[in-house]
This record gives sequence, structure tokens and C-alpha cells, in this order.
Amino acid sequence: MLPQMRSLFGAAYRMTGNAHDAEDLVQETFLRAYRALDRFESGSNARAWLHTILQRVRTDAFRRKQRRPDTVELLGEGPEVAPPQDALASGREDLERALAALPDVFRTAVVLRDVQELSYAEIAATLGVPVGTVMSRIHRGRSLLREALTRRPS
Amino acid sequence: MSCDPEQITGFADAALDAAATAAVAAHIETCPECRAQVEAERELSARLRSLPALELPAGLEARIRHASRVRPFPVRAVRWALPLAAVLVAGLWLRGEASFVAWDLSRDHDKCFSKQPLPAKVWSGEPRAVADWFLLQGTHLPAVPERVGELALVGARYCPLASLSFAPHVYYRGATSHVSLFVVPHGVRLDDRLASHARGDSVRLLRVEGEVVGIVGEREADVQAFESALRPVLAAWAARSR
Repeated sequence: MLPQMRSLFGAAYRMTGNAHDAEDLVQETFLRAYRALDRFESGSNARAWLHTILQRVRTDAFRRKQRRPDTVELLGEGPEVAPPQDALASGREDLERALAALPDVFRTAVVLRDVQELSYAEIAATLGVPVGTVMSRIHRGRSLLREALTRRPS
Repeated sequence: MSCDPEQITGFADAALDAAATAAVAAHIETCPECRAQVEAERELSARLRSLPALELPAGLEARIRHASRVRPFPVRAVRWALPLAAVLVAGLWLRGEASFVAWDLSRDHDKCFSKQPLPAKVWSGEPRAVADWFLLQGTHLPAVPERVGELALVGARYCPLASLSFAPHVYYRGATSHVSLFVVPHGVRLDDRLASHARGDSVRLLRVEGEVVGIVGEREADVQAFESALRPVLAAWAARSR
């Protein structure tokens, strides 16, 4: 489970741009996953399954936040938290920053595809949208990323 | 096809079906812009993929492991467990009820004798042979009579009852009627003897020490004769098991 946890934390961090929120997300996701373990079909992609749960946790947190506006931000436009230290050290800060600045729907699609390496079909199932929408979001997300990177070349 | 940037993204990710893949492949042969986009998509994708994995915050794994052990009350399980337990208790109570046992044995008697041929597992008119067969399966049976009136021993087997148990069942056949002897394989609330009718059959349940023996037949006279014939056998059996 540890590699899955690391991978999920990486994705959650890049989706939320905030270590604290990412930690809460991963913890809640794993607790729900343990509870629903009997519903996991062996042979299917465990990572895709965890992401499906993670998206549900995010949606629930978002709804809670809408009811009580003083709670911590989980879904936002560009998070303003600094990228992780090791990313800075390895000179990938531009990419991390551009990713963090993407609108949420595009960032989520790009992270699921390029960081988590899920297939279009898995992303569609995870987000509950048609495959065509997944393709369009990835396309838009990568275009915005490329624009941001050419404006600020590394 | 004309330039379709979204399709190019799907193509770069090998996410299109065969027909669309072929169409895009043909298109990029002649369109340098789209060819460049495929390159750019793949390059960016590779850069994102090579972003470093992040370290888990200290203690997160331990917190998750701890929290997953302290689970909230499993409401779902309880919702099923209570009715299930109630059904089981009701079932256990019902199967100990003498009138239910009488019905159950009569049902099995009719079922077996309505089959052609009789579903016996041991075929013999020899009480010794039938007793030996049961002994081999691990059941000690009283020495059953070879014949009572015109009814003769033909064979035996274990029969599945509605009470979810297997009962030794011995078959007797006459010209126009049949009698079954059973040893009931579970507890029955019965003091000494029950004489009753179930589903048009005559039934006797007789307590012999810890066991209950059942007699079922279509004719009351047959069952009465069997009870008389069995009395001394059962008394001897009880004395031996004491």
C-alpha cells in the first residue's frame, strides 16, 4: 500500500497545491478504500479505483465548504503555495508552478493522465465524464501549460 | 481530415480507436503543424511524468493505519446480522418442533417413494447389510426388521431434510403401500412418543434415549404394526447405548 499512498499523495498535492489538504485527502481516501475493499474488483487498476474515491472525497469536501464558507479550501483555482522543495532543487519549478496555476478541471485531468498515467477510459470513469470530455480537458490543460512555459522559459 | 487539435492530443496519447488513429496518422503526414503538436504533446507529457515523486509527510502512513483499525461501528453489517440471526434462531426453534419434524419426514417419504427407481444408496433386504452400510458411513443404527407384515426391507440412504440435515432413511415396500424409518439427526422437543398425521401420511416419532426415530407410512395400520415390531428392538438399542 505504501507506493500507492506515495503516488496518491503526489497527485493530491499537485491537484490541491497544498500539503495539508493533500494529506487530509489521502487519509480520507484510504479510510474509505479500506471500508469499501470488498467492492474492489481484483484485476482492475487499484490506482484508478483510489482516484475515483479521491474525487468523491474532494466533491464532498467542496460541498461541505460551500455550506460552511470558513473551512479550508480544497478546490481552488491557482493555489498560492510554493512547490515542494525537492522540485525546486531539481529545477522543475516552472513546470510545477504552471501546473499549479491551471484551472482545477484541466489540472485534474492532466495530473491523472501525465502524473498518474491513467488511461482516458479510467479518467472518464474516475471523473464521471465522457471520454471526449477527458480528451478535451487534457488538450486544453496541456495547451495552457505550454503557453505558460513559453511565457516564462526555464 | 482537417486539423483537429483535440484529436491530435488523443493521438499523441494513443487513446483513439483504430479508425481515428489511421485518419490522424494520414493527416500528420501532410500537416507539419499537427505533426509539431504531436511532438509537443509527447514532450510535455514526458516532462510531467518525470516530475519527482513527493515524500509522504512524516506520520501520515502511521495515522492512516491507526485510523483504519479504529473503524466506526459497521452499520451495514448490523443491519443484515440482526434479521439473519432472527431467521436462524427461528429456524433452529422450528426444526426442534415435533410437528414440524413429522411434516418434514412425511415430505421426504413421499418424495422418495414417488421416484422411479427408488433413490436408495444401499439395496438389500438383509438388515445386517443395511446396518453395516450405515456403520461404514459412521452411523450406528438399531437392527431394523427384515419384514413387517407384507412390507419388506428394500434399501436405504441418507436423505436431505428441510431442516438442513441428513437423516438415515430406511425403505420398506409392500404391494400397495410403503413405510419409511428415519433416525432424526437433530434435537426434537418430544417427551416419549408422538402419533400424528402429516400431509395424508401416518407418522410416529419415538424417543429412544437421546435419539428420535420416525416411522412414516400411507396406512395407519402399517405404521402401527411397525411401531409394535420396533418397540423391543428400540428397547434393546437403548439398553446397549446406555
